[in-house]
Amino acid sequence: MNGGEEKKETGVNDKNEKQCEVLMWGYFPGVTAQRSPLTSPATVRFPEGELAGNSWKDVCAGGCGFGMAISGCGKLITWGSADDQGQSYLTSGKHGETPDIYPLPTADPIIKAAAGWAHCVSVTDKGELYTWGWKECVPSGKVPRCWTSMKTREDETSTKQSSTITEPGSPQSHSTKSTSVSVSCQNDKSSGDETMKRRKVITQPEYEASIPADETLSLPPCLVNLDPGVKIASVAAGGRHTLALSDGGQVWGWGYGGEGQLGLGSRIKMVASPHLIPCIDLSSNERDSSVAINQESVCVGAEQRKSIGNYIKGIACGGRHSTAVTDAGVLLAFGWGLYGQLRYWAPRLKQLQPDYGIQYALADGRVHAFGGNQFGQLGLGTNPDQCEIVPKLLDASVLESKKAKVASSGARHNAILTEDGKIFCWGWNKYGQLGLGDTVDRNIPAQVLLKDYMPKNVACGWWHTLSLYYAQSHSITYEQTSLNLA
Amino acid sequence: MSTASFSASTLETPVLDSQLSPLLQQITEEGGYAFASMAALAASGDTRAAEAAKDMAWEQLHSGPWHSVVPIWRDAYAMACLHVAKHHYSSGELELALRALDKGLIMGGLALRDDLNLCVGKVITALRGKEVCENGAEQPKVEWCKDFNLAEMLRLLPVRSLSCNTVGRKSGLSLEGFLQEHLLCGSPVIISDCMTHWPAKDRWNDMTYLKKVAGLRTVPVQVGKNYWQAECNQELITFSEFLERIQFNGCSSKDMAYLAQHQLFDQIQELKQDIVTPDYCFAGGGEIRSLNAWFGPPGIVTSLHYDPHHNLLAQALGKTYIRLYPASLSEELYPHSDSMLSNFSQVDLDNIDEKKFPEVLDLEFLDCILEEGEMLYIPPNWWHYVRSLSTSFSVSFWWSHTGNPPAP
Repeated sequence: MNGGEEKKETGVNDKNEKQCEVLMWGYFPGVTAQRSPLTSPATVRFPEGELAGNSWKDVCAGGCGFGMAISGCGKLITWGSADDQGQSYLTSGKHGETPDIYPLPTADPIIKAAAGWAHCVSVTDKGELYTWGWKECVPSGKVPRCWTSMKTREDETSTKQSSTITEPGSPQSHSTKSTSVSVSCQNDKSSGDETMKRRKVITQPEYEASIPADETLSLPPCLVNLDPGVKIASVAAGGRHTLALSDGGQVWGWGYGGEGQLGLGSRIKMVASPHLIPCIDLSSNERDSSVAINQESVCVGAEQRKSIGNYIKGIACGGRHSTAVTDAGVLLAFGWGLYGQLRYWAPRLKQLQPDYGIQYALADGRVHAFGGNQFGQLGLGTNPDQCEIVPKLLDASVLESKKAKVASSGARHNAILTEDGKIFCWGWNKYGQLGLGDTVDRNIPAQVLLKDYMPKNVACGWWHTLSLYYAQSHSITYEQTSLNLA
Repeated sequence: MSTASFSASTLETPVLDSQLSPLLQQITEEGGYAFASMAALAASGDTRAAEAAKDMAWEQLHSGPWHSVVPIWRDAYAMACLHVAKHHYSSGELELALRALDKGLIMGGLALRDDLNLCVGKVITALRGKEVCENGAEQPKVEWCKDFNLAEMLRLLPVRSLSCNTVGRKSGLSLEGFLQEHLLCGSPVIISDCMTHWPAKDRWNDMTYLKKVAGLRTVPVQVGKNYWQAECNQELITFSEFLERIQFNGCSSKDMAYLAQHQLFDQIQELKQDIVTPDYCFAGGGEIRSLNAWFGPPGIVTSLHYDPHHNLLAQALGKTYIRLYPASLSEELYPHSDSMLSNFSQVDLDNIDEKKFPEVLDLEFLDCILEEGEMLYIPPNWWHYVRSLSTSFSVSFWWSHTGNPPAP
């Protein structure tokens, strides 16, 4: 889901930000009449009022049925949800087709945000992390029952990892005890209520009645406290888990880890507080049972420890798996691997059309894909039953002599932005998430043709796609062409 | 059927109507925020929301290991299927309504099963009414294609087949005899005369009968020659389409369709009336775990694996070759290390890699050709390889025995 390669520069103040616009296509139930899919790119209206005169800065990945983007001044903006009172509204806001600020308990600019199945997470320019939504995805600060058994092992591995980080200047001095991680939730009575009230004023006054306070399943935005000195640079949200990447190149994870997506093996189901994932160690100690209990971790493309790298520079999450890229350009993957996102490919067992697992990697601007292919989402032009165990170069003729600079994956579709400013999409298209003007799935990349604009970024939500672009004129016309050169 | 007396244009879903709120609450607790909001809209007649809710639940069922799916998501899927079916039904799209209901039965949970069955009954009744108008009189009996060479089929059996010990046959085996001589000591046996009273005996060799009873229903089939093979793909097709495929391109391996390990008799109630659960399953206080259908053309293989339950495999139509290795073997048969496939052997008996698995050829085994009307008792954890020698329809009865709990 979130992301592909991580761009290290954070909080860039773009001179052209006033000219940036956002396009959306795919599933936004609150945007169109009768919830019809938005099969062609449409401009997202910039919020008025408080933000008048500002512009867009970035688009965010994730979100099921709602869009998320960041304004030039660092406000988080959401839209598209159809819910007017349920939990979904608490998480994504009810803005219908009108984007609005999602209120966060901080005045610091947001530089990065992502959404999972039912939770969201964002990073401020100070490296602080806020998360909200589905309770089980928001760190509780409580020590989980399984924590004590993990502690010893984790202390050991964390320490090991710290010592392997040698990037000059970049590592922070982390205290690596997992138990020292705590969370100061802003959801204690007073500040929590404040946030709620604010939302209430903004949109929907009745929702409180439908959600009794003691049965609240969603938590309002909470500050996730990591150790002092840890600054988060980037986040990725999986279905039920979250990863955060520090500026020191370390990865923290929490939430559901039952399929190994938190790097703890599959025995530990829930991790209630951020836990340092010893990515570099995992990949080299695969056979070490004390570290890797049933560890479903793999190091793709690296044969020797020394070539793995020293720190993590990018992270991404799928529904139930995680990936990380090291400074040496090695892709690490852990979590559920039915389709061979991980080290093996297992045929289905008591399962109907198992699906929903795919991973992309960019190497020198070339896209490599591996995983399942039920909707053609590998983009290799192959049959639905042809999954790939190891990353395979996506060598579609439309991508000839093109280099991809951004790749993003939705639930079952994908988008890339090439260096020459073209967007290509492929995979599942039932909700128009490919932006090609129809709802026909594509098993090879097809260009989303847009006139008069220069895309700067592309990000996939669960069933939608967003693109940030430099506007060349205010009256944009777009047409869609499928370059399906079968 | 009495259900036909309900309003002609709507499908009644009494359980869903009374359980909607608590179900949505439970789904929300599992993070199904987007689903709950769409399902609520679907309940009030929003068809696009119904479709979206179904896709959301589908993703939850297919995003990880099947066994790790939170059970409420299966109910969520069944709920969405009901909503979609209601919409199709009221638009007169009966086939689409039935397909949605079948998907709900195949992949959905138990909470709304009664509603699904109720709706299936009503849709089937309407469809049959339509069919009678269109086709008129009774269709003639159509027997299964016998256009294959049994000698050729036997030549394709794995090396050493039928050359060592074969499974013993018994007729008139008493429950006590079964218990003492087979169940308690884990010894396989063919029971040759206990299916004579099965209605299936006379019915299932007639394709017209099967089409009439279940032809419109959607079933999951494996496509590919070898069940559990990586190339094996799964499709949802109607039972009629499946029967046609068996009949007309059964032996061309490219398109082989196999209805394998599917709880067909829970899904299609009318077919359940054609089979009889053997009393042997209850000898010594057993409890039925599941009934599965295995139905395919000649030459279909279920590769070497074991199951944790007692198993009576009843051959209702055609014949199969079965090879058994004792439960005591484990490492010798190289089970997959992956936990999901740990009951499957890495050894392909049809093409044994002697370099990789040198000892396999020397292992002792039992085998047999199970003829129509016979049942094979496979004790828990015994390895078995199954290969059909004709069009073959068998039913496996899995049960656990309280006195002798199956190994995990």
